Amino acid sequence: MSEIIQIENIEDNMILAEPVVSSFGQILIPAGSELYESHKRILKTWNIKVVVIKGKDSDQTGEISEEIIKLARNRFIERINWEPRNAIEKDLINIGIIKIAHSIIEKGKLSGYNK
Amino acid sequence: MDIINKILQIITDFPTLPTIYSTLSDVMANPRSTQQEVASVIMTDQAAASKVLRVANSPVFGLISRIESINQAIFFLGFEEIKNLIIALKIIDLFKKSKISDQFNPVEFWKHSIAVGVITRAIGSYMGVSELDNYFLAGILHDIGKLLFIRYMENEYVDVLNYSIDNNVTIREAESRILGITHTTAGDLIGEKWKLPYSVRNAIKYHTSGLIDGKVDELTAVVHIANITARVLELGYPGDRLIHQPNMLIWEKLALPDNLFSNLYNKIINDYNQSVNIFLLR
Repeated sequence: MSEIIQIENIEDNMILAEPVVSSFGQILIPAGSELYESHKRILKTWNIKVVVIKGKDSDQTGEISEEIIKLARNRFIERINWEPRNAIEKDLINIGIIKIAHSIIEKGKLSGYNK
Repeated sequence: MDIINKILQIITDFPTLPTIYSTLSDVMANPRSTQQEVASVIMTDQAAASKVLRVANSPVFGLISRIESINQAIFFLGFEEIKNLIIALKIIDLFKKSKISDQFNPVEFWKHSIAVGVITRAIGSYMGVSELDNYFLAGILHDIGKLLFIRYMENEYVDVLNYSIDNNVTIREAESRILGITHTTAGDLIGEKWKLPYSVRNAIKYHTSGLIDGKVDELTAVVHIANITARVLELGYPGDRLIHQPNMLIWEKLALPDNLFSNLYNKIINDYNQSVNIFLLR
C-alpha cells in the first residue's frame, strides 16, 4: 500500500510509489526512485509538499506505475475545468488522482489486469 | 398545478420524521430529563440503537474506549450528536427504497451524502471546532432536496439530469431552468418542516456557494469543501460528475493547511468505507 508523506518526513532509502510531477506535468523524479535526506531541499525548491512512497508492506501489486498515474490524471482532468490557485487545491487534485489510480489498480486486479 | 405549487404540496405531504425523533426531541428539551430516560427512548427502537452503537464505535468519532451501551454513547457523544445520528439513520432508511431511475441510484446518492458527512466532520475535527454536533448530519443531509424531486417528480427530474449532462451545467442550474426551484431551496423547506437545527438548514441551503449573504459561515463552508472533496474522490454519485472550484473566500477565511487533504486522505477513505457499511449495507 502506498503512503502519502510530507517531505519533512522523508528518510533515506524510501521508495517513491508515484513520480514527483511538476505543475506542468513534467516528471521530476520517476516512480521507483530511492529517496534520500538530500532530496528534501530540492523538493522544497520545487514547492513540492508531499510525496507518495511505498509502504513497508508494499509488494509489486501495490505499486502505482507511471502509466496508471497518467491514466488517472487524464481521467481526472476531464472532469475539471479549472486550474488550482493555491497549494491546498493542488493537494486536493493530487488525492483525487491517487484515488483514481487506486481504483484503476483494484479494477485491474478484479479483471486479472496485471500491470 | 404549476411546478412550484406542486412542490409546495409535496412538501406538505412529505413524510414526517419517525416518532422516535419527536419523542427524543421532547425528552431532550425537558431540562429535568436524565440520561437514562433518553437512553430508554432510544432503546425502544432496537434497530436504531444497535446502529447508533456501531457508528459511535466507528473511527468517525475517534473514541478511544469501546462503547458498550447507549448510556455510554450518550455520555461520550452528547444528546445532540446522538439525536442527529438517529435522524440520519432514519432518513436514510426512509428513502433507501425510493424508486430507482436509470439516471439516479439512491444507494449511490446516499454514499455521496455519507462521504460528505464523514469529510465535513473530519475537516471540522482537524480545525479543532469545539461544537461538532451538527457537522456529520449537515454533510449527510446537504442534498436532501434532490430526494424530494426523485421521489415525487421522477420524470421531471430525469429531464433535469439529462439537461445537466447534455449542457454540462450543474444540476442546480438545470433545476432552476426546468423546475424553477433548486434542490437547495427545496431542501431548506424540508429542513423547516422537520425542524432541523438552523446551522444544518443553512448548510443545506447555501452549500453550493458556501457563503451566507456573502459571508463565510463555518459549517456551511466546510460542507461546501466536503462536497467538492467527495466528488474529487468519486465517493458515491450525486447525479453528475462535475467538480466545482472551491470558493476562494472560504480558503482565505478557514486558513486550512496546504497538506490538509493528504493528511486526511486515509482517514476519509477508512471512515467512508465503515460508515457506508453501517448505514447502507446491514
